Amino acid sequence: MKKFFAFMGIVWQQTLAYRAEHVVWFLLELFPLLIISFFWLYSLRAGRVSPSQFSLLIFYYLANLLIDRLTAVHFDDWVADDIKDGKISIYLLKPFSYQIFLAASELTWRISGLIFLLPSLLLFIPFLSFTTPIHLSPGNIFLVLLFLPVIFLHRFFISFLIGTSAFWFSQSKAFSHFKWMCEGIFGGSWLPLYFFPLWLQNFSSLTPFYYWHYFPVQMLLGQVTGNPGLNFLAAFVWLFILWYLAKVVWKLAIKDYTAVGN
Amino acid sequence: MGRFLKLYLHFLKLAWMRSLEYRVNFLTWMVVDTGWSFLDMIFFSALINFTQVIGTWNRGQALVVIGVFRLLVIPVWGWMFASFSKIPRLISEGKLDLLLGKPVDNQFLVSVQDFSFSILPSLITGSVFTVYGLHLLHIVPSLWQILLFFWLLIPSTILMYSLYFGSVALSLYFDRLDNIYHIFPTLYDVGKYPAGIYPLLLQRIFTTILPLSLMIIVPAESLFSSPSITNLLLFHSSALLLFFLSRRLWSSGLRRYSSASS
Repeated sequence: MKKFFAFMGIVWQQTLAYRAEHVVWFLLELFPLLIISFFWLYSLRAGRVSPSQFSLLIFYYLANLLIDRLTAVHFDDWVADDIKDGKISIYLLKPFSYQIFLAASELTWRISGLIFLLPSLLLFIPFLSFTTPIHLSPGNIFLVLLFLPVIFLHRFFISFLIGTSAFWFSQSKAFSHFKWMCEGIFGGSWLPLYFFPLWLQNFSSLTPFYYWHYFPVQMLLGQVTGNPGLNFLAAFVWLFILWYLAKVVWKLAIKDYTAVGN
Repeated sequence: MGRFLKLYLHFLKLAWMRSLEYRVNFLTWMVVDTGWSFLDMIFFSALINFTQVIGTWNRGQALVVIGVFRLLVIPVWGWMFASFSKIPRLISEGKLDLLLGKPVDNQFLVSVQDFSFSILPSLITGSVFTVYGLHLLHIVPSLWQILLFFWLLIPSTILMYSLYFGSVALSLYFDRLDNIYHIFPTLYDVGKYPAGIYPLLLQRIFTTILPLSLMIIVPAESLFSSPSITNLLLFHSSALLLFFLSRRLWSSGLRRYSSASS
């Protein structure tokens, strides 16, 4: 744990040093949500959605922004670059676990991201004035807070698998695109899944992406379809599968890895 | 001009050779591009099934806009993203002088470094969406409309280039802004929606200072309605003005650049 906190301290300094990059990452998450929120506001004014539907949609995007800020993982791109450039050797030769380093650094980026998140919530005030109150039970909020580490770890292991695929595929970044597509279509990051046909919703619940956006918001609202206990179980099963895959892939990767220089 | 064209064709040839060298990657990215086309379609179908209209557009009009959006993805992702994504790192790592030292206009040189031919499925999907949208609208564009449409793609591309290049040129003003090249592709989504969905202030911004709402809609609307002369003039003049401004931003930013003796 000492190393973990040491990494966090170093990355914390980096997040402060490269504030501009941090703002850009945040804007990339914020813009799409603002655009779609404006669309729903227009639809409300045009009478295409009811005030209660509008409220639920705005709540959906706002909750997603919060969840995303706290759980998103972005290292797949640079891990792949480090592998291709042979720079990963620097980490492999040092007496610490690369995964721990990645986890500590991502976690620090998430925490420091809150600095930008909180003021940006002010941008949603114009939308909130059109919403009707949504009552959330403290129990559901507590459950979602407990569930956040599971989402973070899901995303961590998937990003890790994508990044480390660069050991075998030169253009592993294509997998990041597949991840984003899956997040959109199975996870509900663009639209709540109830916009899609039932068969797609059912299929989505079998994937890990379902637990990243749609499920936690539905849980907050107390509107999870089916047995929530089974959903929790499925999320944990996925966590175990992803952890195991990441472990096996890493073992195979460093066994075959060769580098010159650095 | 002939020299630039000759050079550009040479760069395109190199990019094509690179693409064919890694054929599996090339095909993977083609699948990714096709996937995004279909996801755009699914997303808009889900939206329009719910609201019946997208702002002021009906299903056919929205489909034409999505079609043109996909067609213009070719310059945005195929050309600009492929070339511009390299610029911030060249700047932050002090390697830009490798290009600055060459006896060619440096803006031209950094702008044509790469082209991703795997984006070409968008040509097919974009065309199919556009033609199908026109079919739903029972519109057969006249020869004049078709010519105007193809002409309007030119100022549209200049607009996108200027906004994208201008945003990337900002990395010259910061110590490190390696992710700035993601901003424009995210903002590009603004163009998928009618300007009318945004509040008045944003409408003004998106049609004048940052004409994101014009770059897709103006060519798309020329296929199903008659654009006014005033709008066309505004469109052309903003393309030229922004091109000039982005060039100024780049050249004045270069004065701040210092090499790392690469």
